[in-house]
Amino acid sequence: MFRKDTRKAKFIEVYSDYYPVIFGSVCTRINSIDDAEDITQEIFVRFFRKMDEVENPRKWLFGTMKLVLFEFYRSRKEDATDIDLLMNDVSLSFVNGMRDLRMLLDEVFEDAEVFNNDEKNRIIFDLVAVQKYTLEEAAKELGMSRDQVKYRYSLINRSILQTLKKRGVSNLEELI
Amino acid sequence: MMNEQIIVEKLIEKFRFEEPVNPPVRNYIFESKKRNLKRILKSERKYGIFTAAAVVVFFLARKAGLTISFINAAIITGSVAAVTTAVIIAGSISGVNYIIEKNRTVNEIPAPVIEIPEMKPSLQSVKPVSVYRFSGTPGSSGIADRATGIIYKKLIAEHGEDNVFLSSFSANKGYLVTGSVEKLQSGYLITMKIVDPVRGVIINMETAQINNEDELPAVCSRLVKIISSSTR
Repeated sequence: MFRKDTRKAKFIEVYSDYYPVIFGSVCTRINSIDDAEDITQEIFVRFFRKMDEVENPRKWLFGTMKLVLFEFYRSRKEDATDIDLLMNDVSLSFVNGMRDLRMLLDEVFEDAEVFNNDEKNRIIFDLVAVQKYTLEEAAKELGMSRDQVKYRYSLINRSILQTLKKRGVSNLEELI
Repeated sequence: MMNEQIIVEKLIEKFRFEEPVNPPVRNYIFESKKRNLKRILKSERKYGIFTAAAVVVFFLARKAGLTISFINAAIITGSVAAVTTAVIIAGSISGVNYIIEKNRTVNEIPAPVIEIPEMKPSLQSVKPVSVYRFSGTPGSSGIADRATGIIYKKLIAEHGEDNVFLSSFSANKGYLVTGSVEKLQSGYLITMKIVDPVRGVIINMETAQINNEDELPAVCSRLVKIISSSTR
């Protein structure tokens, strides 16, 4: 019984942290907020059933998001067969050195050490930097104070830049 | 030197990592979070009353900027539930006791009813009666004696032996009954008097006429009834 309760507690905490990130990410890929809500719900239902086998909830949730979105597109449009085309088409718009840099950035943003191995830091980055949440909104979603979020966000930015420098990208100001 | 935050945000923008979510959608996402958690847990049959309460505590704490785990929220909920239950039980007991005390009535044990056996009317508050021999005229003395005897016996039957005396009147023993029997041309005239010797007054007097001796017992019975009613 205690094990079951622990399992439920773990689910609720993962849900509470990742719900806005997943919902927002789904919303940017489809036009209907109602469909986005259903898809998000489906992703978390699947997570609840599989969570004992999941090591990295973030990777699992985003991976399942791609799968559920693909199922959704296929149910609406029969020729939607390539998941990568649906999900990674942005990188294809860059060429040569810029494409390499984008791939490098992609790696950095997926590197747990950049976020000090703290999932909350990564969620803050997703919400504020990627999905354009305000610091207050991110704080409200994560149950933190605005100052806590602001402080963590500044550390994340510093860590990203330091990691890029370590990997040989020193001329960032010129790049942007 | 550019601010670190601005550089990172410019990179994200330039390399199209951004997935901006509109403010109304962000607000909708925040509002729908608890509702959809409830739906998911219900669909998986993991949503009971306790979980519902713990979820409320968990989200309230987050809203207030307190980072607590769901386990902590559950512990808080359990503690609050236990304290609330204890308070309700204690309050209920106190309330019931108060009501009982307020409505308590002294149940007095009624005194046992001692049933007094009903006494014969003849024995209830009967004053003693002394019967004096009825006087007679020539030709009626025999009937006078007989009338005295009949009345005496009927009074004993009505009042009891202890309350009726024959020709032995004592001033302390109630009333005195006497009378006379006179011979008429056809029949007899019987006169009966009841005297209260203490006050020295005749309290009742009755006369009856009979044609022959056979009618004597019936007349005497009627006279005894009069005596009984007059001496109670």
